[in-house]
Amino acid sequence: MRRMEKKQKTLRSRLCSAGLAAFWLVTAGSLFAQSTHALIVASASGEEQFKEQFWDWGTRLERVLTQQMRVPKEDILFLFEDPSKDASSVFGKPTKSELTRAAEKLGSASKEGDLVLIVLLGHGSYDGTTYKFNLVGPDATAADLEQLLNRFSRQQVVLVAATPCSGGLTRTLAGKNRVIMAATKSEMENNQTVFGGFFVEAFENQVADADKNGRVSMLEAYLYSRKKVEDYYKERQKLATEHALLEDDGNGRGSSIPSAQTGDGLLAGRLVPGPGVETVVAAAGAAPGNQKELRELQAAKKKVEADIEALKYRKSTMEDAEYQKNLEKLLLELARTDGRIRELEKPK
Amino acid sequence: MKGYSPARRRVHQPDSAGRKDPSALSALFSGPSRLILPLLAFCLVLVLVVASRQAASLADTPEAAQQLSSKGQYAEALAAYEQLAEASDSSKETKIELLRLLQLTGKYARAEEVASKYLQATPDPVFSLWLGKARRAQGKYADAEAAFRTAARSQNDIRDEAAMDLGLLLKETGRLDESHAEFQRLFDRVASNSAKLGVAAVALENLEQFQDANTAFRQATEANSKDVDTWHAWGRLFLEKYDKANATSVFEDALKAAPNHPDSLVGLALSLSEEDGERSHELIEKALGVNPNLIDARLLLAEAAIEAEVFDEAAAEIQKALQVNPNSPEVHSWKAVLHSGKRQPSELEQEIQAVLKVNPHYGQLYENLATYAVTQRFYQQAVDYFRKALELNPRLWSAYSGLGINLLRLGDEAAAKEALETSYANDRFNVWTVNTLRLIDSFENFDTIEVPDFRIRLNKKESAILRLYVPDLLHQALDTLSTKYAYRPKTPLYLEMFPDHEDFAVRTLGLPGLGALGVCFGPGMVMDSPSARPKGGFHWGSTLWHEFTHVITLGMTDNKVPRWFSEGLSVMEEHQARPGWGDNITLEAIQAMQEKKLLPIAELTAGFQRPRFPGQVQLSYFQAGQACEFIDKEFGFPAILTMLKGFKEGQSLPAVLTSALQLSPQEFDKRFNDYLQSRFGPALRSVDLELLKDKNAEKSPEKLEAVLASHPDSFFANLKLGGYYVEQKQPDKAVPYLEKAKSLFPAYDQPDSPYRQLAEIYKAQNNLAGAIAELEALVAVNAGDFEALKQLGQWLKESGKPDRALPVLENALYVYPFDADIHKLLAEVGSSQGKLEVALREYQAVLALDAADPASAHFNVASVLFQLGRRSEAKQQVLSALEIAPGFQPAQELLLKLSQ
Repeated sequence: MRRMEKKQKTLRSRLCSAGLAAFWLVTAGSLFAQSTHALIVASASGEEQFKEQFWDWGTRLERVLTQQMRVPKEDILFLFEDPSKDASSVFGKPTKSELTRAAEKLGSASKEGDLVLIVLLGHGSYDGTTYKFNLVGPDATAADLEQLLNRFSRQQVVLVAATPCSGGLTRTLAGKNRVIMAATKSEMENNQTVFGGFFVEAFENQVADADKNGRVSMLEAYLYSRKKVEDYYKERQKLATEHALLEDDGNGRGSSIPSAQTGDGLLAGRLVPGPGVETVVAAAGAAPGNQKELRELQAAKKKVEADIEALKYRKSTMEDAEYQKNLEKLLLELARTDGRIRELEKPK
Repeated sequence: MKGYSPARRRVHQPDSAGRKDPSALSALFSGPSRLILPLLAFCLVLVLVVASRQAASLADTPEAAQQLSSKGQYAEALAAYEQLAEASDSSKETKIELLRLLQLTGKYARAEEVASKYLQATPDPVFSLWLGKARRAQGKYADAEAAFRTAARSQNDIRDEAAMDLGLLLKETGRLDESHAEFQRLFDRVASNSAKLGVAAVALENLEQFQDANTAFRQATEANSKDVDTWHAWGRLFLEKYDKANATSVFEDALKAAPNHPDSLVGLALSLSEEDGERSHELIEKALGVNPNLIDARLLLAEAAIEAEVFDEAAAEIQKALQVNPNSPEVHSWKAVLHSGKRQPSELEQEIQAVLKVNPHYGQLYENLATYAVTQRFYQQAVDYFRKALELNPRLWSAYSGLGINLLRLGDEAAAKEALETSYANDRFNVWTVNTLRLIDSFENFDTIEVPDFRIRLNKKESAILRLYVPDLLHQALDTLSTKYAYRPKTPLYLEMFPDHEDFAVRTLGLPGLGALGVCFGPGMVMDSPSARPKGGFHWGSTLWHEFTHVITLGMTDNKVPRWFSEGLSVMEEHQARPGWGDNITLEAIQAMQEKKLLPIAELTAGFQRPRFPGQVQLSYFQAGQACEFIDKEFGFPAILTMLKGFKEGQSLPAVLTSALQLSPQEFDKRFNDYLQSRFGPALRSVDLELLKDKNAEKSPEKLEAVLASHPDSFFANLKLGGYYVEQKQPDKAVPYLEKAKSLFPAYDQPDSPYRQLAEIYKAQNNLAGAIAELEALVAVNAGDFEALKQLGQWLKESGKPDRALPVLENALYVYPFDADIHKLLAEVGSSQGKLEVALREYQAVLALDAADPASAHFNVASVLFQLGRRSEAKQQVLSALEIAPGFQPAQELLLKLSQ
């Protein structure tokens, strides 16, 4: 019995942290109700190997956003130092003026509440005072990035700084309706990072979809990338020279592992790149006669999902057997509800 | 420690013979011969100048003689001082310097004679002091003691040095309390005298106040950087406290103060002995060039010879040492070790008695025996010896350390900790003790898993994964090898796996920095975990098999199997365990065979114990493995069993070879070399390492083709040319060269191997079968290539061959079990073949790896459990999946099924 209790306690503590992350994933979660607009910027590379790497990451991200997340191609702008590689994919070179032009275009195309995803891939530096993202020509400083983000005050912005020295951005760029992801925990981590590649990979493969709702949220992408970075250094028996952070509650203190305790993760858990709610509803395809039952079932589903999360929140205060019994009951109810919803949603 | 005081300068007076008649002289200045005079004068001056220079080169002044000494030209300096001291008005300093040089160059008998003579002429305590030193060096302890006591009674500075020497002599002869009292009195006297820091430091060291001794040594050498004796004593302190880095630095400084100083040369040799055996040997020889009677040097050579089992050489060195000092407890203790190595118990006992007669508290005797026993893997014997050492001298703290470390090797952790804590409490400088205690403390981070016949210690972070594979492999090894060798070891045996390589090193040696992957201590094995190295860095399964073979061969011979044979059998068994297991032949081995660097069988153990060049240890593993495979193939496995039996009975190598193979060692070497030639001949002829040195040739197809024109069977020319065409994206041109390279050296498995390149070519040509064939051939020679195994497994699965994929993927786990993709792949393959237990194990592994997708991981486990009919476990798992992802459809459907 004692061994079982110990095992369950271990399982409980593991599930606690997973559960709390999941708490953010689900309670915040509604279907994506916003359109997505993306700006991908690959820094000046400096060397052929980096040029190839940044091209690979940038084009893969572009591809996955359009093909899997169904974001319209015209809503994705990619800045790359060598547009001749593929003019149809590249909006312009990564210069300050092009950055401004791209931001203006996104600004006019995006509506209030839309998701604006800005991904910086490549080289960053810190001169003792400020962060700099390496562009062709004058670099973009943290202040320049702040100005860029300020253009999107009515939107929900995700800035992914997949560069060295980016950790301070979680402090300087934090704000309302902003998710700031940095590949490093501080300005001092100045080795080249691998976070960017894993961030792209998170959207490419469904493994990052931890809650199995068929979508990869920004939080899930971050958690996936963070774990993959950790594994990368462990497999190579190298000291990790990058430690990612996520900041989305506006207090300027990023979290390595966002959770209810740290306060980060709520907004990121809600944001999912996608085409917008009209497209989703259009794809549902339920028969008109089932709409009422469907609405009732969806309401019931929302309730039981909320009950599940509330139960998980109370887990540490409950006896294990009682928790498991209640959890099973709710999950069964959800399974039956979801099953019926799927039946009704099946196109005839 | 007396510093050098320069002798008074003397001016050399030319000889007055040859004075000429003045009248004859004046005649030289007139007439036609007037030019002759200036010419003669010039010649005379020239002769005088040359003569004076020659006179100076004989160093007939103390200053000149001192110059020679300070440059380390001791023989010349000694000759000069011998001459200078002959003079009736020679100074006391000159006489002292003569005595010092006689002592330094090992002319102890002469030093004794000269000191006695001086003492008779002048009863100066300094001559008593030097008389004592000379006598002590020859083992005339009672007479030496008398001389030191005389000198110690003086009222001048000599008494302190004499007291120091007396204290050391009392210690050497086992009167430890008296020695302690002497040093205490000495220290009390000199403690506040800044000119006596060196002496004070030695006193503090012998009073076991090591930190203060270190401080005093440093201050003493700062005050007088020329005092080589103080430098030397400081270096010895660092060696005592296992600080070889600082010891090296100090001895180097000592040698700057006194070049070629033999004691410091030996000190430096000791400091470097482990990292640079060759340089160490050179330094010892250099020291003996200055002082052929230097016992420390002789004993170092003896120790090395004993370890390499070249006993005759060891005996010769010990004999030379005994000729200098027939009573030295230290020399006799090494003679005891020699007899132990030669398995001569009565001679061993004789030597023990010889030691105890001079010093009844000489615990180092048994400590040396214990240390040697450890090199022979007689760990229980080592423990017994360490205990005896402590009976003789309960303050021999290093023996507590040795006792503790070896108790740990035997699995007695509680007793080990007690001994180590005693060591630590009294000697905090012993890095072995500190490291091992820290390691024992870290055991709380490990799980201990008890299975039949084994006790397995795995780090908590990875025990969930490793426990899925390690017990099974251990049981396979036990069953297979016990049957093969007809010997079942006593169980339970223990296995410990360390994710931190330095912890493994400490567990093994007490110090970090070990190059090995695994070690066997008889009843147990210790090794790196696969996570201790970069992914794919080593084959843990093969290493475990290697170590287990040691358990068998050590156990069945009572640890008497020679090192080369035990290692050779372990290497052979790795190769025979599974195709591709064990180390493959390397380019270094090829080169060694081409350059005839392999050792005769009679010296092969030395290749492991005292390597003479970098890479010799790895080469010795290769050679030993091949030797055992040669015996197995040419004479049959029963011959190996016969040899093991012979070694257990204490037979010598020649006797064992004769009895089992009917060969002398020389005949064995010849037959073995013929075997290697026939086995590796094509590779030996075709591998042209010179080509690799020409970086331009490697990249130039014209140069490579030119090489092939004259040497069509050049392995590297074929390989590099093939690689060139691959880079140029001309696969059709590349293939013939790569195929040829493959045929010339099929065992070549480096990243640019022909197998790998051909596999990539065939895959790009959609010839998956061809690509698979290449990788199968590659992993058959090197089953440690993780990426190749993984790729092969994927391709086999893709091409609908799950039955072949399964063993390949299982093999990959023996290299690196922490890759979730391999487990998933293996689970799918197992599932598709209906091997649900395999699938379950693998999905459990994915779960244990803290996968990026835990919901799927739980669900997969649940699915297989459901298929196995284990419904309640399945439900537990599916609920875990849904707890993370409540909307996970497949899991929901499974839950509904389980709830029906």
